[in-house]
Amino acid sequence: MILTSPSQPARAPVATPLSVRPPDPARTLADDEVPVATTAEALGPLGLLAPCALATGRLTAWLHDLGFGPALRMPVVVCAVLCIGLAVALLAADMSRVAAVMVVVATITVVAAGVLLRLATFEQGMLPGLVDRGGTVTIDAHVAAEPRKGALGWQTVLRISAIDGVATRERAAAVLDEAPGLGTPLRLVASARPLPDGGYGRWLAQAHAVALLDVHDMRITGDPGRVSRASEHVRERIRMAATRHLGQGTGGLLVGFVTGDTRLLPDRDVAAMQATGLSHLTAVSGSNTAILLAGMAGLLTLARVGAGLRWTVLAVTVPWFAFITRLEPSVLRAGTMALLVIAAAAHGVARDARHLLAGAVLLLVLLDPMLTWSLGLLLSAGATLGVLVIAPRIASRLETFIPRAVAGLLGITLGAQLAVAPVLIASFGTIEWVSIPANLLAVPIAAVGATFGFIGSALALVHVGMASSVFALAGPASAAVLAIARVGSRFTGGPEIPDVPGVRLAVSASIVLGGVLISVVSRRIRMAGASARPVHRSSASEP
Amino acid sequence: MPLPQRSAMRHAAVMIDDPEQSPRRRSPVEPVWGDPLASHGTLSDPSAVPGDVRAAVRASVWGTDPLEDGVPAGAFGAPVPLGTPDGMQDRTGVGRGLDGGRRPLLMAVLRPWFEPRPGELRGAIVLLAVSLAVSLALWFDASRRPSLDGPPIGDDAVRSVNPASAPAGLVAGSADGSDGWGMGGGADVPIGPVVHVSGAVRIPGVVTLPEGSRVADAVAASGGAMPDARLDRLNLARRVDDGERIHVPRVGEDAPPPDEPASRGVLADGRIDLNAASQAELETLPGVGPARAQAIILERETRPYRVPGDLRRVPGIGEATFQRLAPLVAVR
Repeated sequence: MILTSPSQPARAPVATPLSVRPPDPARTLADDEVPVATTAEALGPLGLLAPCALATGRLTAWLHDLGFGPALRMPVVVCAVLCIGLAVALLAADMSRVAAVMVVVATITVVAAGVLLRLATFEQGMLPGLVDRGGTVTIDAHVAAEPRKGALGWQTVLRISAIDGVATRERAAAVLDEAPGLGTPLRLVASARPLPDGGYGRWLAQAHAVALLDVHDMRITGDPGRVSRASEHVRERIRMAATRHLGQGTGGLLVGFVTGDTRLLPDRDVAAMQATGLSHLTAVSGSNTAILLAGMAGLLTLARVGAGLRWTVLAVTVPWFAFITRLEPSVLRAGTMALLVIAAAAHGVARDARHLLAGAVLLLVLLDPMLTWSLGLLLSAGATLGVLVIAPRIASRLETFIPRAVAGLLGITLGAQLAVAPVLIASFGTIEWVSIPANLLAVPIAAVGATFGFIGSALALVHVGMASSVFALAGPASAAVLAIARVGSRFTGGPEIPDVPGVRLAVSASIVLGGVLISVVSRRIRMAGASARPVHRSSASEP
Repeated sequence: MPLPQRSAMRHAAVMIDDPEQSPRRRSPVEPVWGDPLASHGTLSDPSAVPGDVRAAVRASVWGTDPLEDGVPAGAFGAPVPLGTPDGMQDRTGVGRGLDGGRRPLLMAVLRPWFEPRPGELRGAIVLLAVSLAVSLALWFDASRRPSLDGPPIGDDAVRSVNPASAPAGLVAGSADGSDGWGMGGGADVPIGPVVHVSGAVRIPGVVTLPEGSRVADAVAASGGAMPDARLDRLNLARRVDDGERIHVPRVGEDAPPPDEPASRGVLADGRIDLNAASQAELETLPGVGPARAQAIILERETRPYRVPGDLRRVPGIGEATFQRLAPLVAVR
């Protein structure tokens, strides 16, 4: 309010109505509430439930780390049951406003109960005993996550079916020397250790891994299964098509854009992408899926394809994408979210795209509360939120200086970057300065590359030669992204926030608060001008 | 950048932020979730509100320019719900400006989220119930998983010391890949003192005795005394302690061999008890020198070991060292 009043005359329309009716404090407050209220209107209760669910999952993780997990478990479960019952009763009694409050409380308790119950399952079974005792066992397992190249080998998650011949169903993470495909049955001689502390351990926990295996010996005992074999076949064709006319780097990057498979990309380039904050382009994530779908939609519109066919093609795209990226949970999650949001944005089926994003997040978190520990989910949701909320604001301000299309692009990349910044700071304590310009330049180029890459990979199923020419078209885009990464990696550096969890969280929270404050203040300034107009008009209509 | 690409991206941008591109998007469409706003007025219904207020509403919802406010509510073709059963002015806050009313900011921010939307609430409640049910089901399912250990950790029982098989299993443990601790067999292991009987007995060695056994029982359990045994040198009525050595001297054996100082740190099966072993006993472990033994003792003084895996807490003992030590150590 203090900030608004002095600036109000400056932003008021030319025919300042101040002389007619001076602004009173009550009026300013009311005006300021309008945009906030409309945002909430657009979101509905989901706008409150989804953040509550995410925050509760994180908070529960923290309480668990402090050792309160087992003690809290049963009380929280009972509370959750009571809250749901109470909400149903209130709704039946037509007290829906109180029921709405109760639903918020129920969401918090249900997510907390879900996390605590899943953590309790971590203590059941044979792996925890193995971790406690030490020793080496024979393990029969299937590969449950696409192996990813790490510093020590191929990181993956295994679905364990037997330990020393005793049947069980547990999950463990492992670092393997080779990369067997998803679904491959293995027999391992291994010992188990507890999940590491910190982000990596959290990531493994949200993938439902109970322990980390040290593999002493590994034998592949069978066939990965039909679906995995088929997708591996397709991936092999895509790799062939991408590298026929292009080098290992550029071709490999295109494959990475499409399938998240970076094994063709030289280690040096992988490191450069990481250093410049561009590795999300090759990780199969929400932004990757969104870029892909946006690019596809653009091309289809350009080709004057009718709306019905356009949506059919896009609807087929997501399952196809999920298939060639091996139906990983992260892909399914990202795909679901991106498809919901983009469909809403372009088709106008829902109240608001933000509303759908909140709904998708809530749905995913309730189906698997451990997802609240997943940095990937936070980053996907954050980036999408940035595109939906921050991007248009940036774009509309930039439009006065630069062409509209460029402003839109800049808005999207900047908006996504700004929205994920608090998440990155809270988890890593730093932000690479160079990642901002690098993303600004690389994301639009990568989107073009990814679109061509995707068409190429679809063609690769039919004809590798045809596909390779499409990939060749995307070569310059891929080469440009690589060049940005290589040049950018020479200028690394950023603010280092000390590794005290509270400090990082505080910095990240203050960034969020600052952003909201700036947004509210700038709206209030605008609203002051806007609200002045009708008053002016109405008073002018009086003789 | 070639033309088609630029246009593609422009569309991508436009698709998300531009309500003007497709007029269709601004028409009210029934929302996917929630009630179809039965009780809410929308902006597309001009007759619902008087002109003045409508203008104020439009200005406050859309800003001075529909685009300037970024994504206004309804940008994606959604109706902008304004009216409530208790009046539109109250809901949007615009009316407050006109009638001069005032409400705390927090309430104004939170209130629309608590507006009754029975459809959405019902959906959320169903989702919550399903979520809780899935969590509980997974938990019940997991509690039926087989467990590696019989008695709970920290139990006083000497787990898995099956006198017949344990030593062989332990020796073979890390070499052939089988575990060293008799899976699932812990519950059947006899609970009682384990003693070493040496000297003039028929079967010298380690025997496991029932709780409350005497020295005589230990001798009997070792196959009985040999004819040349000097049983009068022993107190046959004494209760035996766990981990004790009982030496039965022979005739002509001048003095009993000096018994080791009562050792609580070495179990009968030869494993070292992490919570009881002395510095010297710990140093008998492979790869454990004076410094590491000291560190192991320091750690247990701050927090006793609950399971062998707690050795990982000791600075300087990594995973590899722990796995090497694991078959040789125990916690009682």
